[in-house]
Amino acid sequence: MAGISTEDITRLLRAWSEGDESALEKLTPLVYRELHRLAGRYMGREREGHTLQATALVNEAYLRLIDWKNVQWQNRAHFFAMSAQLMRRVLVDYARSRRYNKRGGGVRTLALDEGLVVSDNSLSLIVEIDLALQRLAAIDPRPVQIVELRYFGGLSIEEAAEVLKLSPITVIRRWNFAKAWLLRELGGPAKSDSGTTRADRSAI
Amino acid sequence: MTPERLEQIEALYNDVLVVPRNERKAFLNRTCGNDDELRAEIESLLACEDRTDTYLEKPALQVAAESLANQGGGLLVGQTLGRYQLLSLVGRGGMGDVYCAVDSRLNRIVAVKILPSYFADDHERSQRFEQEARVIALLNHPHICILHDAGCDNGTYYLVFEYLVGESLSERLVRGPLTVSEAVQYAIQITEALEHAHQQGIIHHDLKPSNIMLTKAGVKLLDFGIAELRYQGGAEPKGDQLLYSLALHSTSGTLAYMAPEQIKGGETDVRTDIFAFGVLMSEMITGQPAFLARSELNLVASISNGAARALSQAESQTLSALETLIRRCLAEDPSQRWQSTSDLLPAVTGLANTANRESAG
Repeated sequence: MAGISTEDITRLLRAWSEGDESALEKLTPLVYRELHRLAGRYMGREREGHTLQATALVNEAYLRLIDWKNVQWQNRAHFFAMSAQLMRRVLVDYARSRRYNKRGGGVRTLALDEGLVVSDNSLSLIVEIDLALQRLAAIDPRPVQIVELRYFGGLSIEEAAEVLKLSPITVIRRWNFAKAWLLRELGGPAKSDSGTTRADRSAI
Repeated sequence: MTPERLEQIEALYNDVLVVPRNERKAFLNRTCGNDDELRAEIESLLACEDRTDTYLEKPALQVAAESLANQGGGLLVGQTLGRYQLLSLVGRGGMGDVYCAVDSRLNRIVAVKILPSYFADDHERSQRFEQEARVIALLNHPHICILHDAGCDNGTYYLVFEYLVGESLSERLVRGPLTVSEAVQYAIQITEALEHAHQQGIIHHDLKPSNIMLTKAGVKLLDFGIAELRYQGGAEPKGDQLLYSLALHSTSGTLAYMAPEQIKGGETDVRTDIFAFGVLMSEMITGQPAFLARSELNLVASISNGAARALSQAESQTLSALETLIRRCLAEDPSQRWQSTSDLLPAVTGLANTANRESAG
């Protein structure tokens, strides 16, 4: 596991895109590893009292997984679509399993020094976004593609534009629309009088 | 809905976004005409506009990682570190999460402690980690939890310990104080373990109830010398560095067991552990939080206050001997304490004899 490089990831991703489901099993732990490393670094930063360089750290994590600058695939767009789909699949499964664990008991834990704090609904949001995207894809897959690349694949507007061979303005417009659409699908605008946030309500 | 219709909505929505809010109604009147459905679509999307700025701008990976970080530690269950497959999270403490794991080579259950990620960021610290782990691995004593292995897998540093079944002393103390003979029995084992380590030049530095496991085989001291790993650079923690380290790691409980020289960031030695032993000892007897015992140490009084019955003469003899012993552990000036565990051990054993005579009589 230690020796997996971005080339290996690219190779596995290609195998997966060609229908090899066993490649997904090998890719999943790699995404998990990056996820845990990232979480660990967030914690480390918080403890050290540094400003959370969240964006820089998450970009770094994506780069380690998908070194898109060096990808030699003939069809870059296809490669990124697959990477983003991989992230979507793994993260949604992850979010689902964590939700399940919380409800079903899951692992018995024992607090030593500090209590175990599990109160976070942001993971539910990932699952709901996935479901809303499935509904949107039934109408038109194009906005879904942008959301996959940006939200799951971590690409910037410019990167997504390059990959899709679209102008950045087209990407921005499609992205704007997709965000509003998803938000509406997931429960509509916040009521200004209540302090309830999206994440709060998704727990209900 | 057709893709063409969706495209129409997308285009119009974006067009409206750049129109000033007070002109949007007129704009939509012009563009939608009699198409009420289109108008309703756009208006419902616009109602969400103000919240789209933060919404979805954080990549899912970041959302998941933050959620994980908020929970105070990753559930690495199912992951493999080196040859260890993590089965379940069994505990978490200031120095990292502890997992029950399978050693796939020797096919046995072990405890894997994951060290916080800031080790990974610092070459010097990671080198020090290796060096310290080698030292801790030298400890081989029936009352010290054995370190089997230490390693790093892709930036995650971990220590592999023997897997213990039992409860920690802090869990035990929740149910109230120990009997004097129990406490003395444990005290002997703790002192023996400390002596073994001190002879090899290893100081615990973080002796406290949550670092002591009570098993069928008696006491087991955990995290021997792990505190050392917290300090960067030199062999001993120094002022700022220690405070920094405290700020990073200390759960409020830890401070209560620290010797004055440790809190001040001065030189520490075996007598630092002896101080912590004293705090521990009084907590075992009184069941009181350590800081209370430390500020107003009067065992005889605190126990007779708590006990419904009056203490017998023999019992109070043992207790006053115990109090003398503990006071000497807790001297502010290290030179006034027991100077070594070989100095302390006969005194603790002597107590056991007194306590035994007491229970026999």
